[in-house]
Amino acid sequence: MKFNVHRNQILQKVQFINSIVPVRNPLQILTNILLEANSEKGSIRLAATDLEVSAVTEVECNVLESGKIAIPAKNFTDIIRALPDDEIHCELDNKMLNIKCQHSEFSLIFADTEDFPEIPDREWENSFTMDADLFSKLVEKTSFAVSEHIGRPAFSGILWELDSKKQKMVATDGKRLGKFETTLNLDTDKIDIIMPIKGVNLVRRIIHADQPKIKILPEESAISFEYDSYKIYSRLIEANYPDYEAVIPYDNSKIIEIEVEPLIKAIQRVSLLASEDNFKVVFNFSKNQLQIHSEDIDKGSAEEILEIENDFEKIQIGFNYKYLIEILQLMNTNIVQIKLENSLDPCIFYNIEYPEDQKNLFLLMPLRIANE
Amino acid sequence: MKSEKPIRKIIHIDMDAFFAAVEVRDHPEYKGKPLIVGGDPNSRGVVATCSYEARKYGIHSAMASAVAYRLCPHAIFVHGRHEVYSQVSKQIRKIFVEYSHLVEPVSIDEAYLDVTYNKKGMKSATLIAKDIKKRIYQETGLTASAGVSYNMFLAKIASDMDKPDGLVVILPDKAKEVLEGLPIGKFYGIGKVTEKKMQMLGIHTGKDLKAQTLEELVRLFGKVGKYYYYIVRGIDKREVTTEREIKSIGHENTFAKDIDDMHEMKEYLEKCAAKIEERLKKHNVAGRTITLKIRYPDFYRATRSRTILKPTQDKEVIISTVNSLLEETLVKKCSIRLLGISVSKLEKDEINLPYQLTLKL
Repeated sequence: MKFNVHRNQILQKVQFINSIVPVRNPLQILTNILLEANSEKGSIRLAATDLEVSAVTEVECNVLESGKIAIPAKNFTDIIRALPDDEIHCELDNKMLNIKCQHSEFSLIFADTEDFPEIPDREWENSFTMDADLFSKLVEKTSFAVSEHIGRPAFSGILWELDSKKQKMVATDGKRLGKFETTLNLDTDKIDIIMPIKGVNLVRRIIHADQPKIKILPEESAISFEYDSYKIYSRLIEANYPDYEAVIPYDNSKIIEIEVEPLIKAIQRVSLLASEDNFKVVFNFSKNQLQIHSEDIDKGSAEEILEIENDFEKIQIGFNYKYLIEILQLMNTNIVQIKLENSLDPCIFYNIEYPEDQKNLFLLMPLRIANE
Repeated sequence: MKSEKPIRKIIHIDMDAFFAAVEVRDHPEYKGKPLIVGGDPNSRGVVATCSYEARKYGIHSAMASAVAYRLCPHAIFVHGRHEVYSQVSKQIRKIFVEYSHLVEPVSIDEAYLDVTYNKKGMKSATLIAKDIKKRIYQETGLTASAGVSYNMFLAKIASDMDKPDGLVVILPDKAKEVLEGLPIGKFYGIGKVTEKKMQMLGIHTGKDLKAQTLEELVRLFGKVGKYYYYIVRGIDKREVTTEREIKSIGHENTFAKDIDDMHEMKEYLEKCAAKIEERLKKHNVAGRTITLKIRYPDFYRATRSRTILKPTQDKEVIISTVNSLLEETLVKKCSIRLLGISVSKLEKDEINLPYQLTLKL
């Protein structure tokens, strides 16, 4: 193996592939990046996998001799990152990878590729393409609600329901829920899958303005994405998604529309004295007024009053302010429509500024307030 | 239409000058003399209890012993013998539970009983109270005062109305009269400071208190004003609850047929965890040790436990711990007949800690 590549041509891709490498308790071989040089194609191929998600990318460069090794991901990435912006010469030499750039030289021990799990390319005939930005947006507006716990597998991914006319992504951890629906015009079969969060987040990272379309291939137990020079393969979560529609209280009767920016600012101020144990802030709605309150036995209390327009009787409702602010920021809107019923039932948030064909709903369960 | 609940029958039992009475019982020579159980007069201690004779000198519990000594220099001062008192306390509780499942001990010498449906099938709460008093005297040699009424607040007021060795019944139609005539300081929950404030506001009796509106009381006293508003009207919805200290909360099931499907096991464990979360929250406790219990078809039992850093009520935390415990068992190779989870090392959650509600998914 022997190739020359410019540092800036390869750095971003190495860093991206390195981010697939599992951090916790991996199989030894998975701590490597699979590095393959192909003199015919004039490119090198970088690949990594954590067995759930795999990613592959290619870098065009001057390949003098083909070859294939498994190179320690951390060392390789650190070296490339640290090198100056100039031509890098890589060559196998006496069971080491020799890396030269200007006056620096490294000899890096590598591993056999035999044990490295195969990452086969897919048959892309059945794929479809869609707007990359739209895909990214759907993921962004739902992934916040994905559960960090693995207790319920379905909760650790995003549900994606799609047919030729419409699509919907949903995620929930039981406390929060995000749902985004849009219309579509695609030539594809129906899909109904749960995507683990890691893979789709990686896809979001590579999406940029210069390439508007992403190629997507849904299969029985995996989903693959092709974008730019990248291919990302992710396993799917095999579980039944719970009947989330049944718990969304669309007909909540108390409806308020509030300017988001001042609301976020107010919550942020009040949260300064909220308890670090439960992050509780309390909303007291009364006629044309919203009082936001927090208190902590060790810190004191804070309060802020916002003028609002509403016509319902008093309601008191508690929220985890971190969850609430996250949702309000994600909404990316000037005016939020909040629909609630009482202090114990789910509260929903709408972005009413979206065009007709995009529906984005956020749901947050309250914090039960003490002494009730 | 609301279903009519029967009028409740609540008894409040309060031992008379409990510590002092026990001392007098065990030292007949103290009888009829002012007796003070608590700290030495020349110490910084306080009066825990005193006999009725001592009370005549203005001595009361929580008063500094030094002050008590000044009021009554010839009083007998003795140290408390708490093992003895708690022994007696157990004796009387044993009597209570013979009459009702619903016994709520308030302190070492005081308890509420709900005898609406009692174990003896007795109709009259007054007779039960009489019976209990008699039994207490026979078995401990001590007297108690009993109050009988239709809620806890009134029962408590009643037991205080004819001490010592009293038995007072406040029937629903008498409650109004009793409450209106009651000096404000006698209302349970109105302490010295509030009493003073009320006196200054011209509220001296229940009748005066009743004349205040709910808004006014809340304005003057905050949240607790609402409580005053209701109790003076004889409204107290609190229920007598048996507060047993819980050591662990668990859920398990022996399957009708041995199961070997991991999926099925996990599904069941999730249900378990959800049930446990519900019960932890209900009891306002959080646990640190999570135990997985398995019984294999040959009755061989396995338990695997893990103690986590922060007490939890969260089913997600429980289930993820259990899932990793599952890896340490033979479930992948063997079928199982019993599966269960328990959570122990329980800690009382801060009173009514707010908690994050979850969707019923």
